[in-house]
Amino acid sequence: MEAAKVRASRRSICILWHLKSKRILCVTRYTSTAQALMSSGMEMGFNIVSRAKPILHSEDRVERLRRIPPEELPNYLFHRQSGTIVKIENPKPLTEKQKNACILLAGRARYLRRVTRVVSQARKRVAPSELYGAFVDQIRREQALKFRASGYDEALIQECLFVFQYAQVKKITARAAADEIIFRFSLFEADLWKTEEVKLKYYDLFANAANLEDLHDIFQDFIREYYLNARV
Amino acid sequence: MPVSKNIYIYNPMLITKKKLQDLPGIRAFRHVLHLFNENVVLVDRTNTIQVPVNVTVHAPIPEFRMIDKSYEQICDERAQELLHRSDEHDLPINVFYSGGIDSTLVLVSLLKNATEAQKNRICAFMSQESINENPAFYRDHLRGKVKLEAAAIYPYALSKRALFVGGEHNDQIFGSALFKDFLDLHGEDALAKKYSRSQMGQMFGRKWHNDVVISWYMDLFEKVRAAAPCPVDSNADFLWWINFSLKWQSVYFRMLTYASDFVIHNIDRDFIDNNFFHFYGTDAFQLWSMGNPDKRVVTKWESYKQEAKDVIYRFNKDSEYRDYKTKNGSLAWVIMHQIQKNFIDDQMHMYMTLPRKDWFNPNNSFRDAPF
Repeated sequence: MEAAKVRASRRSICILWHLKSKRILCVTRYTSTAQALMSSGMEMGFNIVSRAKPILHSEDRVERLRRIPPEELPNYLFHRQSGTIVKIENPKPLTEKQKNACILLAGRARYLRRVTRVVSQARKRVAPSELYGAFVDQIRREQALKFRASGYDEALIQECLFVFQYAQVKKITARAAADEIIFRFSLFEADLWKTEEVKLKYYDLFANAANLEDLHDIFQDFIREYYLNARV
Repeated sequence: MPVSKNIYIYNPMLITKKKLQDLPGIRAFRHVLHLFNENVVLVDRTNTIQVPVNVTVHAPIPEFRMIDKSYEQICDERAQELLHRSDEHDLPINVFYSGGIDSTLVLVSLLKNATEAQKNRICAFMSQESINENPAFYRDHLRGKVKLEAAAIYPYALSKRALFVGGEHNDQIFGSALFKDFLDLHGEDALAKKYSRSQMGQMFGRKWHNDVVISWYMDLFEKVRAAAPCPVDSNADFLWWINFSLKWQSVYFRMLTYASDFVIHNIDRDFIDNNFFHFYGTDAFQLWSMGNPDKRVVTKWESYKQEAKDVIYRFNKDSEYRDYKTKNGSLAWVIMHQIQKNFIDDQMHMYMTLPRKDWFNPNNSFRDAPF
């Protein structure tokens, strides 16, 4: 169990498997979740984004693995070179320790997915991706910083087009525009930053939880810190 | 025998966790979370209710006396005091601004009373929600006029190199968020009427759905009512008094609980005496509140904090804000998703966890509750 690898397909399925025996230990949907499981220290590995091809013994796509109970996953082998998954005909019986390890890994992955999902939802609110807005915001902020650093020198108009465009539309001075652009970007940064601390904390806690009961307790703490503490 | 801590604020969800519910009083105390909100901390300033935590009162209720000052006058005097302190110590004034009524009035009071030099030392800590909540105020009075910072980073910004001023406690001055529930249930005249245990019980029934719990808590709150040094006659008075006496301390300390590990060394008694101010947290505001029950009572939710909205209107002439702005719990936007310390003691030490012996008060008022 000390060495495993992670595989991610285009369908965002990640597989953790035992490096020596090639037996599958855990299946999870998000790459970041698999990364967090790896960071627990018990597993090692890296992501490989595969071609989207059927790999479950030509029967189904890898997504089928997600429906297999975690304690039965080691009855499947992952062949890295061919990218296929094969069911073992007469598998060597699993020990209770191995079964429990798989259940725990699957439990960790399940809670980590929930953290990933709620943090992503919170971030979508502050970072919508329509119209390449993130690129525009980034460029405009860099130009605003450059303009401010020059002492608001209006000779820089050609190099700071986004700033002057913003000032023209909002009917404010270029200086006020630069200050507002920088300030608004700081709000966006602060909102991302705010969710990052709790994510860092709980990725570590879940990935290192020792049993299912601990996982549940940690999740209760996560809900409290992420949502309920703000209910004042 | 080790001495337990004297606690100023605690996390009520932490101390009522499932595995602690067999401790005397914890199961009954847990019902409080359903009445107010999950993270509302009860500390009784009348010393009538003993909660299951070893709490100590930080700011006692001032001795009641009538004061002959208007609400606006008290706001102006508070602003002048803070501006003077800023001058005296050469420190900027960082205002926690949510765009809501309370923090807008803080900025209005400061801007009304500040010289140009003093205005240059005012910085609004705000968020996108602050802009959304009061876009006209942002456009006309903040953008390009005062310094602006992202409010979310305040847990890392608390230091003795600035004054920090928030709009906390105005809810305790004007009444309670429960006013809205009461108006919704009993109609527009109900708050002004004489206190009715039956009507109050019906409203609590929406939260608790259990007659034994309702009756037991009503008895408890009526003891708190009896301890009031001023008249608590109407339904509005009752809800106000519960909020004023039981929630004040929670409101005082809650923002500090989010302080980063990197700045908690800045937060000591000197900091809370000289750098950290809730604008409405003074004796003058409390005495105004205790002596002016008619200014607190409302017949519709839009009139809640009307005195405050009128002062804002006289400054910015925004009649839409005056007539239609309603209370919106905007602090949540700033603190949501941030990690909180779960205890602060009277030495201003902050803790994520404490041994049970340090916080648990077995001789609490909830231990003999029949549920």
